[in-house]
Amino acid sequence: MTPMIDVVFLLLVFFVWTSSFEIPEFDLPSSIAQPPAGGTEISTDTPPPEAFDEIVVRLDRRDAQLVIEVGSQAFPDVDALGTYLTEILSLGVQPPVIVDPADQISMAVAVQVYDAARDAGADRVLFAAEPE
Amino acid sequence: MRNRFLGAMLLASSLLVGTSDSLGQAPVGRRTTDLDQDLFQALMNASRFSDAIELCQARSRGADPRSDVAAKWAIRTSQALSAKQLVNETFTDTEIQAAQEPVSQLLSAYPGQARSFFLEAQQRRVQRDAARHAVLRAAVSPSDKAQNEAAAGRLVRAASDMEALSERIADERSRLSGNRDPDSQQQITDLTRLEQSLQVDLVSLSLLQTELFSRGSQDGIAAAVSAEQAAIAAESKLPNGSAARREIERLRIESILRADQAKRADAAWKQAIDKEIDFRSPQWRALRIRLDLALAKIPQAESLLAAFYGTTPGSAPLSVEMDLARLEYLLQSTQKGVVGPWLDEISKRGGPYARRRAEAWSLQYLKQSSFSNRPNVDPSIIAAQAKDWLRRGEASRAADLLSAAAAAETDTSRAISRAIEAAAAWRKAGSPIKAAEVLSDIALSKPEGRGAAAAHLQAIVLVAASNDSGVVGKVESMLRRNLDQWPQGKAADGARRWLIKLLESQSRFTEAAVAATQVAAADLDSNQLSRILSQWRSAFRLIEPDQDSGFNTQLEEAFASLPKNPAAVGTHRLTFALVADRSWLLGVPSANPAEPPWIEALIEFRKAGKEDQALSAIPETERADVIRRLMLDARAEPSRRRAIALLIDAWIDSRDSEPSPSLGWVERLLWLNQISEAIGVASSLIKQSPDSAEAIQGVAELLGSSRDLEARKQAIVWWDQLAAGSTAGSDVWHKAKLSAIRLLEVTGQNDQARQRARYILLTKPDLQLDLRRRYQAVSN
Repeated sequence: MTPMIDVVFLLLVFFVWTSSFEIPEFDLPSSIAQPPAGGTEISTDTPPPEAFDEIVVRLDRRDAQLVIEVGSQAFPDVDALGTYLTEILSLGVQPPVIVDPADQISMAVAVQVYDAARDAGADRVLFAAEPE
Repeated sequence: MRNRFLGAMLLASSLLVGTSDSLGQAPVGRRTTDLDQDLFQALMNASRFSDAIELCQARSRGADPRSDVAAKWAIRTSQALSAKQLVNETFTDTEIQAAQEPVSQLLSAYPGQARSFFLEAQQRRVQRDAARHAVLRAAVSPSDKAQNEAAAGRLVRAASDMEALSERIADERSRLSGNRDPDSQQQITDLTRLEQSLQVDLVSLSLLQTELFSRGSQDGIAAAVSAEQAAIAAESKLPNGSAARREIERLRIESILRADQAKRADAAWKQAIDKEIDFRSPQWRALRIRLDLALAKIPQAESLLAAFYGTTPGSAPLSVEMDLARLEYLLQSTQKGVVGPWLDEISKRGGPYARRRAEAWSLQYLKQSSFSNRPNVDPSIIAAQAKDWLRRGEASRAADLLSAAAAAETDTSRAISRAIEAAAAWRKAGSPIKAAEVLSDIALSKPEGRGAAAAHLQAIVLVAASNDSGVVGKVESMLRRNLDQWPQGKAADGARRWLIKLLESQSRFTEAAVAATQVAAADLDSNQLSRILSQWRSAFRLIEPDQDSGFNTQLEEAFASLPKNPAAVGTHRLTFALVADRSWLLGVPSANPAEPPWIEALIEFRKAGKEDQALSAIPETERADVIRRLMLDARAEPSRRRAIALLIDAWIDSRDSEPSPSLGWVERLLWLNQISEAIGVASSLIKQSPDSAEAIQGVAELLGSSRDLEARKQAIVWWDQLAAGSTAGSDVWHKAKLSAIRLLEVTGQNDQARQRARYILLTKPDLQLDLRRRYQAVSN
C-alpha cells in the first residue's frame, strides 16, 4: 500500500509542477516580429513565402504630435489608418500587420493602433522587436 | 701711368693672341684717339670679357662718382657684363640685374648724376641684350613654346622701357633748349645723340621679333612689316645724313627683305645708294649680298664675298653680319661639306653668340628647305651640331636640331636613326611627348626607312607612358595606324598584340578578335592561327553573340580578308563551327582532307541536323564551347531543341563523374519535357549556389518560360521567394512581383493576379509611372 501511495504522491507532485495555472492571453497575443534580412541570400529551407508583404505601421512622436506611417504614407490619426487597412484587407488578403512604436509612444496608443488593425479585419497583428 | 702701361700691355697681348688679323685695318690696332676705348673694344671683340671688366674696374677706381669718367666706366663695365652673359646659356632676370648693377648702383647712390640718362640707357641696353639672348634661344628651339613666349615678353618689355626713356630724353632736351649757355648746348647735343641711338635700338628690337617666326611664314612677314613701319617712323624723327638715320635705313631695307619682298628691298637699296651711304661697310655689304642671294644674282654675291674674304675667309676682317651672309650663300650653294667648317669658323671668329646666331640661321634654312629639292643642305651638319649641344648638356636644343635634321634627311633609313636620336634627346630634356611626336612624324613620313615601324611603335610606348587624358584613345589610334602602315613584320606582331590587350581591357572582345585576324600572309603561321581561334572563342564566351548583332558580320568580314592557305582554311572552319550563328555556316569553305572529321560533322549537324558518329569524338577541350553554341542554336530554333538536348545529355552521361546542376541542364530537361526532373535539378542548383538570388531568378525565368503548368506554378513559388528575400521596392523585387503576376495570369489565376497588383498599388503609392502602369494593367 505504502509504495502505491508513494507512487501516487510522486505523480501528484509531477503534475502539480508541470501544470500551468495562467489563463492564455487571447485578446492581446504577445507575438513579436523580427525585421526581414532584405539581402540577396535566401534560405531555401523556409516555408513558402508570403505572397503579400507585411504592413509595417510606424508610430512616432514629432513636435508632441503622433505620427502614424505605413511606408511613405502618413496618416493624420488612427481612424484614417483604420480606413486604409480596411481598404487593403477588403481585397481578401491577410498580410501580417506589424505595429512598430517608437520609445516615446505610450502603450495606450500602441494598443489603440493594434485595436484599429484588428477592427479593420487583420488576423495577424504583431509588435515589432529589435533584433538581438 | 701704371694704368696706361697696363692698358698698352693688354692691347698688345690681345693683338698677339690672334686678333691681329681682324684688327689689321690699323697696323697697331688703334681705331680712335682714346686708347682705353680701343683697348676695351679689342678685348670685347676677342670675347675677353673678364679682362675687359678688370680694365673697367682699374680705370674707374678713384674716379669721382659724379664725374663723366665714373659714368663712362660704369657703362663699359655693364656692357662687358652683358656681353659676357650673352654668350652664356641663361640670361635670367637676376643676371639682367647683375649686368645692370654698375650703372644701377651709380644711379641710386647719386640720383643727380650728370649722365643719368646715359646710365639709364645702358640699363635698357642690358634688357635689349637679354631680349636678343631669349630670341636666339627661341629660334634655336622653335618647338619650345615657353621659350617663345618668354622671348616675346622680353622683347615687348625692353621696347616699351626704351621707348619711355626716349620720350623722357626728348622732354629733357626740349626743357634745355631754352638755355643758351654752352653747357646746356653740349648736353642737348649729347642727348640728341643718345636719343638717336635709342631709336636705332628700338627699330632693331622690332626687327628682332621677326626671328621668332619661320622665314616666309605669315607671322614672320607681319613682324617684318611692323619693323618696317617702326623704321619709317624712326627715320622721320632723325636728321638727314646722321649715322643713326643711315643705320635705320639699313634696318628698314632688312625688314623689307625679311618680309619676302626682295625686289622692293633692292629698290630701297638703290635709293639709299643715291643718298651716298657708305655701302662698303660690312653691314651694308652683307645686306647687299643677301639681297643678291634673294634675287638669285649669285655671281654678284660671289664677287662681293670674294672681295671681302679673299682666298682665306678665316683671316678676313671681323664681321658677324658678313659671316652670316657668307653662311647664307653657302647654304644656298651646291657645294657639299662647306657649311659645317664655316660654322666652326664663325664660332672662332665671332665667339659663341655668333655661333648661336649662325645655328639659328641654319636651322631656319633647314626647316624651310626640308621638303624642297635642295640636296646641298646636309642634315648631318646640323646633327653634328646637335650632338655637340648634347655633350654640353643642352638636350632640348640638341633635340630640336636633331628633329630638324631628321625631317630634312633624304635618306629614309638615316632619317629614322636621326629621329631615334632626337627622341632620345627629347627624353633627356624631359619631353617624352615631343620624343613620341618626332618618332611618329618621321616614321610615318618615311615609312620605307629601316626600323620605321619599330620607331613608330616606340613612339606609341612613349605616348602610353604619359599621364595625359585620352591617352588610351590616342594609343589605340596610333596602334591602328602602325598596323595599317606596316601590316607585317615583328613590329606589327607587337603592335597587334598590344592592340588586342588594349581592346580586351575595355571589354571590346569582338574588336580584339578582328584585330587578331588582320594578319599579313607572310606572318600567318600556326601561332597566329591559334591566336585568331582563341580570340574569337574568348569573344564568343565573354559576350552574348545573339545579342550583339555585329558579331557575325565582323566574323565574316575578318575571315574574308584572311589569306586562303590550307592552315588558315582549317582555322576558318573551326572558328565558324564553334562561334558563328547557323545562318553564317553556309559560307564556310570546304574541308581539307587532313581536318579532324568531327569539325565537318559538327558543321553538318548544326546546318542540317545531320547526326554523325564523329560527333562523339569531339575533344573534351572543345565541348564547353560546342555546348554553348548548340544551346544558342536550340534557343533560336525550338524545333531543334530536342535533338540538341539529347546530344548534349549523351555527352554528359558519357562522363564518369556526376554532372553538377546547371541552368543549361534545367533548360535541356524542360526541352525534353522532363518537368519533375527539371524542378529537382533546379532545387539542387539553388541549394548549391552561393548566390541563391541569382540562381532562383535563373530557374524561375526558365521554368516560367515553359508551357508546362507544373513548371509555371513552381516558377511562381520561386519568384515569390525571390521577392521575399529582396528589399521591398527594389528592381529585383518588382521584377519578381511582376513575373509572378504574369505567370498567375497565364495559368488562369487572374483573380489572384489582380489581387496582388492591387495590393502593391495600395501599399506602394509612390511607384514610378511605368511600374504603376504595369500593375494597373493587371489590376483593372
